[in-house]
Amino acid sequence: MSHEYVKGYVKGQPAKPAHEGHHVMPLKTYLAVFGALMVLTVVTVLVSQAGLGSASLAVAMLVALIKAGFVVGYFMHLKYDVRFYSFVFFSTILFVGIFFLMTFADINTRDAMSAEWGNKRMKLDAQANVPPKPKKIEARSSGAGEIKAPEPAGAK
Amino acid sequence: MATTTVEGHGHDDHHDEKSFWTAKRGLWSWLSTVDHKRIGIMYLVGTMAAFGVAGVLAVLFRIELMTPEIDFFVDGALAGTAEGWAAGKELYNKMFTLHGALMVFVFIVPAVPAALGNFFLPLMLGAKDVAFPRLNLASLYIWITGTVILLFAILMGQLDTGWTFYTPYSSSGTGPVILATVGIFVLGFSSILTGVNFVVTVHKMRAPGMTWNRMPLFIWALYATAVIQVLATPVLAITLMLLLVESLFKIGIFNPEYGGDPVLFQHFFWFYSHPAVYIMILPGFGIVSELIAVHSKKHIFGYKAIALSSVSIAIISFLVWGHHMFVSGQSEFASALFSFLTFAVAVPTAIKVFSWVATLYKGSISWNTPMMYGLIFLFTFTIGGLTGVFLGALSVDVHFHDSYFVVAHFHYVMMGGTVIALLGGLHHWWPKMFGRMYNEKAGLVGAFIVFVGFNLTFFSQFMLGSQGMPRRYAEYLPEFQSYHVASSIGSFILAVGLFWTLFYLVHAIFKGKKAGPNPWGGVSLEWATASPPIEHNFHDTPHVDASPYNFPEIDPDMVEGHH
Amino acid sequence: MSTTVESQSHAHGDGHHDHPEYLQHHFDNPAQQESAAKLGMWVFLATEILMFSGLFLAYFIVRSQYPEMVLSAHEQLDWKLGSVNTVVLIFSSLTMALAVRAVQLNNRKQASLMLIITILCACAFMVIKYIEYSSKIEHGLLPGIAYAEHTIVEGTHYAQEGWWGGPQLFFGIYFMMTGLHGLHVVIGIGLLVWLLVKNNRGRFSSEYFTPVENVGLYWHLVDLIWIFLFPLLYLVK
Repeated sequence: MSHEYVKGYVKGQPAKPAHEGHHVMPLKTYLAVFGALMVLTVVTVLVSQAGLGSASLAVAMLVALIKAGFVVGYFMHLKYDVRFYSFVFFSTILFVGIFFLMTFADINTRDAMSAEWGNKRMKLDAQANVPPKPKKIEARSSGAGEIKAPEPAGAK
Repeated sequence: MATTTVEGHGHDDHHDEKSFWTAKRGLWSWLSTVDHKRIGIMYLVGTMAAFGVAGVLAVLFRIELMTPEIDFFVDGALAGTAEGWAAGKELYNKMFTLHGALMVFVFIVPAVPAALGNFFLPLMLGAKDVAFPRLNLASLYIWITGTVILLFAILMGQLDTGWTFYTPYSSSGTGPVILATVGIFVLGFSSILTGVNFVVTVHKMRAPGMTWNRMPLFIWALYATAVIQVLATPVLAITLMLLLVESLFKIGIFNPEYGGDPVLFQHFFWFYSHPAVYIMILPGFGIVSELIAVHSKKHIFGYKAIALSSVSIAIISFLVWGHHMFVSGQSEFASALFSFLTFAVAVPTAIKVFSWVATLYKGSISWNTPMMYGLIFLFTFTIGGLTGVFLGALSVDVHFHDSYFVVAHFHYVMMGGTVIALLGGLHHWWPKMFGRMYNEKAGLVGAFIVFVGFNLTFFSQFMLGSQGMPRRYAEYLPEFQSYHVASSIGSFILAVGLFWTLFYLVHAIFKGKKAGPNPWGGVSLEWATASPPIEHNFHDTPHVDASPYNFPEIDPDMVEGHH
Repeated sequence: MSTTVESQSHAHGDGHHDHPEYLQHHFDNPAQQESAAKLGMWVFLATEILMFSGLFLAYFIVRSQYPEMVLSAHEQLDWKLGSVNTVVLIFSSLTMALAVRAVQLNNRKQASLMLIITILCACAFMVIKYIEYSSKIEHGLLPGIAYAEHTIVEGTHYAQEGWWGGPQLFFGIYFMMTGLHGLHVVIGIGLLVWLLVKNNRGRFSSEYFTPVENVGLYWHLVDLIWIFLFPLLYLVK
């Protein structure tokens, strides 16, 4: 866990840390990254309309992760900056992962040990509930074309 | 001095330079200061005031709990009526909520890091200040704002959710709960700012030669604490925000009435609040490392093990939050997983305790007040920690959950751990902060009273809990009365001990003997500057070339005539 | 307060007589100040990520509990406006990065231009957000008890059975996520204007541009969060 800055200090003389030289990236790189982000945005939209079903979420998240990688790596200079910033960033993601994983470890295993109820109680409840009636919304939104009436939740 | 070589002149040549107390004068110089020492002192005054208020509340409801019925909290005219009974119960609920919320969010979370930490972190690192002094001042004002909002919420009306704000009770509440949530939300930001500041300070502001392995263990503990503050507190912020929206709009994330999952709130809440327990205790560990090493004049045993165990406690603390939820309706799988992971916390904690005990072995122990508090800590914290292992065991916790056993356990850890360490730290650093010595005999008497009072108060509660007395009840069955009376008497003794301590410490500021720069013969950097420190901490940037625990050979001459 | 700091740094020189104006008194040299500020920013970004993570987790849980509701309710959002906003925000991220680059190259005029474009994009984002919000409000597609269902049909109580897991839950999450994100955009606009003013006064150069860099990091994080919000709220099937 030694740190650059202290190393630069050794003989009592504060020296500029080796890695903190200012890295100026060429304009071309920025434009290329922007292009890639635009392409990926189009991909996300197209994928969502391709009707991939349950895989849709995974694909959307994958594309978003790639986009995030470009933003973090190039726009935020993480690829060229002091390594410790990457450590901070990825540790943060790790702790977000712990938060998600452990919470879902509970949510997804509720009643898993009860054969009678199985693991589906919450989901069954969700389906049993009738969502608010669509026609009331229609009545309100008849004037505005772009707002579609919601389908009943159980209808799929 | 073994550790430091101050370049140029020794500090004795600088008698003219004023201490941070007198360098600038006037109220405005305090309110607008960016000096970490003054901010630390203001935090100290504020947190101690909160401790006092919350402590007095505790004594009041301990008086109420001396009898099985509600009587002390009932207005004389209403005694015996149903109305009086309900009012007394409400008052009791409000009081323990205020006690818990003040102690946790206003006192113990900021007490050690923001008060002692602020004062000593830059001094011990050999820095002129923390990395972001203005942010530091901002965190103080945010802390004051949050405290005022929280107090206002509680005084304004019926806030009786306990400090945990569990849904659905909290989200169906009105005014006071919402306001209190806002108050704690604000307090959280103060904590985050302190955390960010400390992480960066430890990374970037160390004096030349102060490598990671030459940092005092108090700094390591503060660093681990700051990491938790940074990683956990934002989740508290968002949890409270969701709770706020839930109470205002009934959107149905947490409240089962609207299709939400109340256990989810507990996940969110404990993702912060379990690591927060370590925000409270880790700085205490750090203080004890200093107390034990300095007052036995011996290189601390297992320096690296203690340092890294602080960091590993910080990390493991994020993996165990579900042990607060064994009876909440959490899945059996998750409970078993969390129970298993909880035992892992015991390992780094035990490494610390064993290392402290091993440090004492063949040390030159001074039987003074700081050392006494260090020893009390070893005794009470070990009880608190071990009962924590009981409670981490799934099968045991199902029975002890929400009983006085849990109350006793966390008071042994928070009070017997953090507060005892804080008291030890105050005595240890009082001469540094104020330049005056307290009366050693008065200190030992105070430590004895606190020790007796504390154990009587809370050991009785272990007995109560193991016999089935549930927590947070204003009334109880008559068979519990003897332990309740013992506990209440203990709390009175404890209060006497604490007021006694307050008295002689404040007395010392005005009448105490002048303390030299290094009354204990410590070798970490804070002892290398004047007492009280000058405004810029050091005349010249100190250079470090050895461990902060390299005490000179145990030799009375060296200790006495240190310079 | 800044005057005290400056007077202190003059009164208490510690051997470095070449103190630049921007160097605060408690740092030894500009490199230390810069690396402290940047580390501080990254640690702050960590807190931001964890704060948003709570909302994302809430979203995923609501989605896993009430999948059909989320699918049908999200149809109410206009993915076209969402896509336009994505492009606007990513473009503003590009111009922000170019602003940092211009400062690094001592090109003050270009830096100002890039900052202005970034600010305009941010404003455009908020205008589009305003259009979206007002259409939601108009149709009563609001969180919780504000949802149309409650306001239209008298006597329907939110605690009734049919209320469970309805679209009001989705819109609750939607407004919280986009609202908190929008708040960050507004704060970002303020910071960008501050940068612009300072840049016009010539405070930044290739020697000292930490504030530009740090606001840039913040701005990219705002972009980063939107990159996840967009497919989760507007697109998912």
